[in-house]
Amino acid sequence: MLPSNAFAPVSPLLRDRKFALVVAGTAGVQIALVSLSLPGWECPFFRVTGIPCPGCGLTRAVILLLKGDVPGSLRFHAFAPILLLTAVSLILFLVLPRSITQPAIAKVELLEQRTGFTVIILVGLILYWLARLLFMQTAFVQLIRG
Amino acid sequence: MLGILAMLVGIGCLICFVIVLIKLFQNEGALKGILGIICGLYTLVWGWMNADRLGIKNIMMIWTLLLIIQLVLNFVFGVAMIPGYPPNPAPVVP
Repeated sequence: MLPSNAFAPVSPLLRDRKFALVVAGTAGVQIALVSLSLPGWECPFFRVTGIPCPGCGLTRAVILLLKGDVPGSLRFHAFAPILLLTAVSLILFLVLPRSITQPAIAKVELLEQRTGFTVIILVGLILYWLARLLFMQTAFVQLIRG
Repeated sequence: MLGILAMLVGIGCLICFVIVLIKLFQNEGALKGILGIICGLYTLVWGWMNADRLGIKNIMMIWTLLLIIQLVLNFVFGVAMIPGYPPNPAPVVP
């Protein structure tokens, strides 16, 4: 039995501050480690199979985006701006008082349910990954391998 | 020898990841499952936050231990997570 918010995955994440804080914290540590060229989280799928997963390259794409290298970032992963926007929203929701965030979260939830934008983004991400694997596999793997 | 160890640790991590990912799909639906595939860190955090409720504490402990071993192996033997990053490191001027 799936939860009622199965098709609105972002709003519960924003509502659960503890979970959001841990996710944002680990993501921040990961970005810091990679930008310092230190070992961090490695994609278990890519490490074993040699095939990049749909999220491979996102960390580097976000770092390049933060440095202002938009073309370089998009070359690594086209969804980096969306991820960065989500991360910034997550931090804002963590920092702002509940009196402001609660109505905003309700609006996000309603928007998710009505427009299905999260579904569209996630399906788009999977299609983007499949297209990269099918039509530019060698270049994609080499790009991720570094 | 170290290569084999790293490979075994990698396979162990993948197995734990898949187990937690299946739990994520079963409990939270397809969308969060896809989110878990894209962002393994999300799966790791979700797994720990729900470890007691789902009875996967042992899996999470094994996975975390394997991740620490992987980090130590990478760090000690000088293999950065992403080879070639940063793309153009500044030359060391004596």
